[in-house]
Amino acid sequence: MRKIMSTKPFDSELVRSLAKLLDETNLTEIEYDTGSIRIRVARQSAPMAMHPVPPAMPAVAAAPVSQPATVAHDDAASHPGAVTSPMVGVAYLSPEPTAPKFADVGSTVSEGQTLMLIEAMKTFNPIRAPRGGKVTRILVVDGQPVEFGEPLVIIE
Amino acid sequence: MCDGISLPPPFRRLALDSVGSTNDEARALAEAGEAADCLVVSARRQSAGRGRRGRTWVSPAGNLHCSLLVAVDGGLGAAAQLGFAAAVALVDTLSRLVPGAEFRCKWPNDILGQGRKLAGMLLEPAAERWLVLGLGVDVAAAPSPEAAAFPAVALADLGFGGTADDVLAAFCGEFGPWLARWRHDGFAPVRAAWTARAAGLGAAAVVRLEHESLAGTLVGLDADGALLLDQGARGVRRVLAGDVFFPEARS
Repeated sequence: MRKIMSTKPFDSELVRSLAKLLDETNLTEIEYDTGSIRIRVARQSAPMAMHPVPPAMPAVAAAPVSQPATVAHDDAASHPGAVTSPMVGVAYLSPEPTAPKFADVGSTVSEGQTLMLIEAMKTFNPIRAPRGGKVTRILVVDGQPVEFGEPLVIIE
Repeated sequence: MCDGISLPPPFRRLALDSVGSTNDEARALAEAGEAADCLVVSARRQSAGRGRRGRTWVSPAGNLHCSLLVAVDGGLGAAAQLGFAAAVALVDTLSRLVPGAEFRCKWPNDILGQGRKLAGMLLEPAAERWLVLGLGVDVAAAPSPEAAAFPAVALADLGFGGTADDVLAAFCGEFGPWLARWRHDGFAPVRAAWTARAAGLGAAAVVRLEHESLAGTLVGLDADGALLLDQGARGVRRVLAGDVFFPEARS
């Protein structure tokens, strides 16, 4: 079940990649907000309780979500430049909601530099770059729950 | 290092006058190789006290703001459990200091006095093997309603006539045995004690996450300390990070 809210030009590519991320991560919901555009992609396995869908579009809404496509993550996990999560928690890409990200795709980081924070029960753990290099991928979105060993960032 | 009041062993104290944040001072000690287990960094004033996600923690003189350095070898995930041990110790401390008032734990590690927020913690790892446990208790004054997302109260409002130092010394006396117990027996006894002192179990609550809010009924803690929230038809959700609010029915 997907629900999309957006203002401004409709970016189907972005929605598609968010939906893919939703499948890959097994999340139930992803919200993406750039300030000018806000997209929420969500799915529910249980019967709709909180977001009743107008009866006009049941068939599309009922399209089953296929088996989680974990292939991309498996690739990422075995990537030599992968930085994985040392714990279960929630990832934050910036020190606080309004601040710039610790590191962006394309940026160069040095060894020991903080890449993101992972919070569990109010313990904030900085994830540091194990080596210097260029951040080629960030595999989690802000506020996303992460599992132990899950790849977070790729540094090459 | 200067010593103010003495703390019950094994705690020792580094008393500072005015700092940005006691957590930052404690972390700097750890990074400089000068940390010691159960060293407490306290300050009369903090100019840059912090809460979750960069929020300001209002820290006037008269309130307690301090950070405990604890050696942890069980990994970062397990270290988060210490916040619950500290919450249990603080509830017992306050219940003893202010016998007429009711103190409860609010997930993950805030303390409520008479249903209003009285204390909070912020835990941060430092230099691989240290956990910095930041503790703020509104002893003399609570933040103004505009500055607080959750209704707040100070110990003085509840009839406490003592000082921040009195609270710190009493807290260390309670926390020491809990720290030893956690190290020896793990999280299970801490979890049971926290659950017995928890606010709002079985009650309706809203949990605010970074990008969404979840409504449901508070069930309790799982074996790792995550909050279990029953969302009815949507199932039970395991929450690892967020802020809990109770609808106004609670006093």
